[in-house]
Amino acid sequence: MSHTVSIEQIVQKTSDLPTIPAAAIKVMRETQSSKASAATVARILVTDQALSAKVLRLANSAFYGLSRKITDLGEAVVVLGMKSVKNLALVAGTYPWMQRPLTGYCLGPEEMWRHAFGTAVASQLVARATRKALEDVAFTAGLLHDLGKVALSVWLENKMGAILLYAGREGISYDEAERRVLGYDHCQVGYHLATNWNLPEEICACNLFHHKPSNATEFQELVDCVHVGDYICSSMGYGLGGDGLLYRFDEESLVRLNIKPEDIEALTDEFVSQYEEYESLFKELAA
Amino acid sequence: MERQFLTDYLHWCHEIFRVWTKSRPSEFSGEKRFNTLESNERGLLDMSNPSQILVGAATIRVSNGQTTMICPGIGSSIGLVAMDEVAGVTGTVHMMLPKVLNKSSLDKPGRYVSTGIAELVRQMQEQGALASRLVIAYVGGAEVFTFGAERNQQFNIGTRNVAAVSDQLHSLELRTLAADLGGNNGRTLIVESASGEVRVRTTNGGERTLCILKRTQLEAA
Repeated sequence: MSHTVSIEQIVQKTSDLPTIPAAAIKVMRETQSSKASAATVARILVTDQALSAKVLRLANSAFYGLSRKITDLGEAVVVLGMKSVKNLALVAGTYPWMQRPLTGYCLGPEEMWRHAFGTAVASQLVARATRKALEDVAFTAGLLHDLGKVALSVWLENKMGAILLYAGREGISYDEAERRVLGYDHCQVGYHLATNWNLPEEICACNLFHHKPSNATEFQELVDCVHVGDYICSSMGYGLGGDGLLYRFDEESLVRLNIKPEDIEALTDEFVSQYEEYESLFKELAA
Repeated sequence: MERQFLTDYLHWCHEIFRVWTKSRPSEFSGEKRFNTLESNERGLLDMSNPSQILVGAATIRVSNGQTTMICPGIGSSIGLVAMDEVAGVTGTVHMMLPKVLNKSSLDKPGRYVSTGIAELVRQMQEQGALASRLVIAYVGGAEVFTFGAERNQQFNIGTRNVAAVSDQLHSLELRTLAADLGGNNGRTLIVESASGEVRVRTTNGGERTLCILKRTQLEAA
C-alpha cells in the first residue's frame, strides 16, 4: 500500500489537485473581517469575471424575486448580503472539481458535491439552531470539510475494498482504518491541504477534527456543528461513498451543542426541506 | 515494524479480495464497483429510457407497466417496494424519517414512514391493486458507530426508521417477504416489475438479489 507516501507528498505531488479561485478566498477573508463592506467585497469580485456574473445572476434569480434588474455588483452584494455572496463564491469556486467522481471513495459524478453541499446546509442549520457558531462560517466549514478525500482519492483507486475489509475485520471506523493502513486519514490530509491553501484556521480545524470533535482544542463548537451536520447529511444518504456511515458519532458534540438526541429528527426534517430548496438553485448558478 | 505488518496484511487482503471478486464477477468486485458507480449515473439511471423510473428522496412512484424502479441514496432512510402481481401494479417509496413533525410537511407524505406506506398503498389501489394482495420488500436503516457521554440511540435515525416501518406494516396488515436493514452501508434498491426481482446494491460495491416478489416467477425458478 502507499503508506510510504507522506501527506506532504500527496499534497505536493498530486498534479491535478483542485484550487479555490483567489477571488473566492479573498471574499471569504473579507467577509470575516470586522471592516468588511459591500464595496470592498464588490471590488474583489470585479477581479473575477465569471464569479461576478454568477453573483449578478443570483441577485436577479427568481429566488430573490426582485422587481427590477440589478446590474451593479455593489448593489448585488447589498441585496444578497455579504455572507450569501461568500457562500455562492465558494460553491461556485469548488463545484467544478467537487462534481467530479472520486473513484478512490466510490463516489460517482456529483456525489462528492452533494455530500459537501449537504453538509454545508446541515452545519449551517445546526449553527442556527444552537447559536454556537456563526451560520455562514458553519456553511463554509461544512462545504470544505472533506478536502482530504479529494486529495487522497487518486492515491486510493482500487484500494478501498481492502481498507473496508480491514475495517470490517477489526471492527473499526473507516478513518481509523485509514490511519492504521496509510499512516494518516483523509482528515489529516485535508488539514494539510487547507493549510497549504492558507484557508482560515477554523476551516483547517474542521478538516482535521470533523470525525473527532472532542479532540479539537480550538473552534470546538464549530467543529461540533460540522460533525453533526456531516452525520445528518450522511444519514440521509446524500453523497454516500463506499465508506458509507462507517464513522463514529460523538454524542459529546450533542451535549456541547445542547441538542437533545430526540431533536436530531426535527433538524434532519428541516435539513431535507432546505436541501431540496437550495440544491438546484446553487447548482444551476455554480455550473 | 507494525506498519510493515499492516502493509503486508493489507496486500494479503487485497489479493484475497481480488481473487474472490474475480471468481464472482457479478458481485463484490472492486473494478465492477467503479463501473457500476458510473453506471449509477450514466447507465443504470438512464433517464432517456422510459422503462426506468427514478425514485428520488421522499418520493412515491407507482406503475402498472413493465419498468425498472431505481431508488438510490438510501442511507438511514428506507426504500420500500410493494407489488400486486395479479393487478400488475408496482410501487416504491423512499422515506427519510419516521414521522411527520411539522404540519407544513403534510404535503410530503413520501418523506415519512408514518404517511408514506399508507399513501403508497392508496396510490396503488387507485391503479387496481388490493392491499391484501400486496407483497413488500424494504431496505435501509443504516447506522453510524456511536460513542460518547450518554450512548443514547434516540438520535439514531436508521434504528428509528426501521422500527417505524415494522409498526406501520403491522398496523396496515401488509405482508413482508424480505428486508435488508442496518449496517453502515448506503444502498440502492432496484426493482424489476416484469420478473418481480428486487436487488440491493451497497455503496461499497456489492449487489445481490434480495427476493422475487412474484410468486409465479418464484415457482418457475
